[in-house]
Amino acid sequence: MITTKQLIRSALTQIKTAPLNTALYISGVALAVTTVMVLSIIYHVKLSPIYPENNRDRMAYLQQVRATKKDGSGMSQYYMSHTLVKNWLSDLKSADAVAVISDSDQPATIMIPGQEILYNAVTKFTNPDFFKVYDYEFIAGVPFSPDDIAAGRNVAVLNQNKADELFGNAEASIGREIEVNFKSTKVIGVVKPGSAISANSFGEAFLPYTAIPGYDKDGDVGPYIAVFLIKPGKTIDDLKAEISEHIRKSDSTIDVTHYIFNQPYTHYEQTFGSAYVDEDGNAKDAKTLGYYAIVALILLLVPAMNLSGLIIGGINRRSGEIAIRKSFGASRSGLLWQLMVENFILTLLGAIAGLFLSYVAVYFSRQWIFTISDSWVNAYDSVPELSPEMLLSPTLFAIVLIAALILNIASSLIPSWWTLRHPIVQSLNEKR
Amino acid sequence: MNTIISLTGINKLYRTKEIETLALENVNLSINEGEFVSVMGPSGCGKSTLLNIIGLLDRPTSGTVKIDGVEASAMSDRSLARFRNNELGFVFQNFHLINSLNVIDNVEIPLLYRNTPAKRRRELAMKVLERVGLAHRINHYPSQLSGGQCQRVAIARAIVGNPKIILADEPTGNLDSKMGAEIMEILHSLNTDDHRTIVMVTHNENQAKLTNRIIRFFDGRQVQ
Ligand SMILES: Nc1ncnc2c1ncn2[C@@H]1O[C@H](COP(=O)(O)OP(=O)(O)OP(=O)(O)O)[C@@H](O)[C@H]1O
Ligand SMILES: [Mg+2]
Repeated sequence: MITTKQLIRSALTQIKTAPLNTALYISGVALAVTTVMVLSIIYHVKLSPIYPENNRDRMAYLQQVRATKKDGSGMSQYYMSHTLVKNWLSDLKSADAVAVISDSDQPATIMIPGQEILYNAVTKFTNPDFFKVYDYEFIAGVPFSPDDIAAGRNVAVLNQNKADELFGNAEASIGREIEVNFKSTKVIGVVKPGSAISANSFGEAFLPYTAIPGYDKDGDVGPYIAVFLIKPGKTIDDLKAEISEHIRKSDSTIDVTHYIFNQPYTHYEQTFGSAYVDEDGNAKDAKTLGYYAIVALILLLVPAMNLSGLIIGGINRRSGEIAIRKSFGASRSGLLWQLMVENFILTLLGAIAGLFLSYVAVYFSRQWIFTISDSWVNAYDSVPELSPEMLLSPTLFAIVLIAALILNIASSLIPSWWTLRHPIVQSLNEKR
Repeated sequence: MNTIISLTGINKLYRTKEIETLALENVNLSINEGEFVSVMGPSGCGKSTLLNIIGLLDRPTSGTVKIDGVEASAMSDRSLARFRNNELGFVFQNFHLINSLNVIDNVEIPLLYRNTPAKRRRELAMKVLERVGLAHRINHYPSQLSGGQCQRVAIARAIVGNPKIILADEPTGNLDSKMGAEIMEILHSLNTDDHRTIVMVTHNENQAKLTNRIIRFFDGRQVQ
């Protein structure tokens, strides 16, 4: 078997002897890998544990609620009302925490008393469990307490960027008075910022939802969504069963029937949305990821077909060398391995270039690329920040490797095998 | 004397669109271990074809080839490869060195395919390069060598793995007479000192006369 050093040297020789072909091949691979990696980064960011959504595998979502009058006189559809939150989500045995978030997270205005400047902040009105479901890291201060929410206290947790903007640093913010939507509010905590890409958890300011005037003025539906942290050992089905039992009990005493489309959804179902669940919220078969894999495969196979032309050229140039090696004892399978590994070195170079290209592409398109498949686009105007864990993840590196491997096999296996079947004597004579 | 190469009823037919060429016709030949045999005949009479068949680089259309007691037709690609690696060493008229490898890497090739450790490979390659007088040229590339030097590298490569049989197809055909004489000297020393069996194709009567036996071909048939 040929040595690693020789394989690498041989690959480099190829670059030297046919620089244009190799450059074309490497760029072709790079472009193919870029498309796959942009897709992979998007779904990695949406699906993998990314700060502060570190518990995505245990998270579940309840948003849409349809209320139908029992006498058939009307129907409405939105999120949960405050009453429904209380009736449905109290004492859940299969959840460790239930974040309740009001949908009124439009930018709120923030002012510092005595100053004229008006700041905007993406604001989440929520409950203390929010900081259990999402792993926000407190740089200073504390989250708001059940007591704060019960008393409807005007307290706020800021993210570090906002705290820096307002007060220069995190520590200096704690205990300061600000006016949120012109209401005096005290800053009690500062968290390390999440990214606007993860819209569910993102906020620049977090306040108890009880600070919203009329937060419990109810209809059949309301403005609240819930994010659950499923208890270890419990399943999404346990949670579903528990909630529908609560709904059944709660509905039995009122003149409305509520329907929740087979929610809560897992993070996976929530992310893939309509691609994954049908109108009634039943998961379409779990083929979704399979479809994405097939799309990725096609994204790789089409360029691979084109690239194999370059490979054939390269191998034909080397048919003399191949014949010589055969004469001195190389077997077809051994040479096949050599050709594949050598080509893999080039493919890997292209794939790594492609990964960097995809970083560049994602960076410059980050404002829209992460919402491209979302049914609604969030109105946040803050530029989504990309964190190292979004880009430098072992999952992504593994995908790059697999993509390179697929490209390599698809573009060079058949040409290599075909060339290796060429009779030795003929190749030797042609070299002459 | 042990027979090391034995051909029985060998025919080799080349078919192209226009014509069929019977390159070898009913060749029966046996060569003993330790013999130095010359193959002669006019151009196109089938000498190279014969050597390629003996060297298991090509299969005959019919007939049996036995090398060192093993019948070749039954062998798989992998065992043919192993057999070529262990038993045979080739020297070609055009040297057929790999241009992208330097001298010592070229010489090491047969050892690569029998998993000799790197250090041992280097030792063995150095030894044979010393023998052909090229120890000072190991880092040169084929394009930086003269024809005679290239052929000496090719001989070093052919013998580095200690094969029993050396097959040389016009090894001096591209060399001037002085360099040709050097090559012949090396081949004779391999035959007499190392007892290797050598089959050499040549057009040179003087070279042939110095070998143990001359086999003459005409139009694909052995005439002597
Ligand atoms: N691949 C091939 N296809 C068709 N015919 C071939 C092929 N290889 C050789 N031949 C024919 O077979 C005959 C023998 O060829 P071979 O190369 O063995 O001759 P040779 O004796 O080595 O000649 P030279 O002394 O010129 O090297 C020739 O007539 C040649 O044209
Ligand atoms: Mg010939």
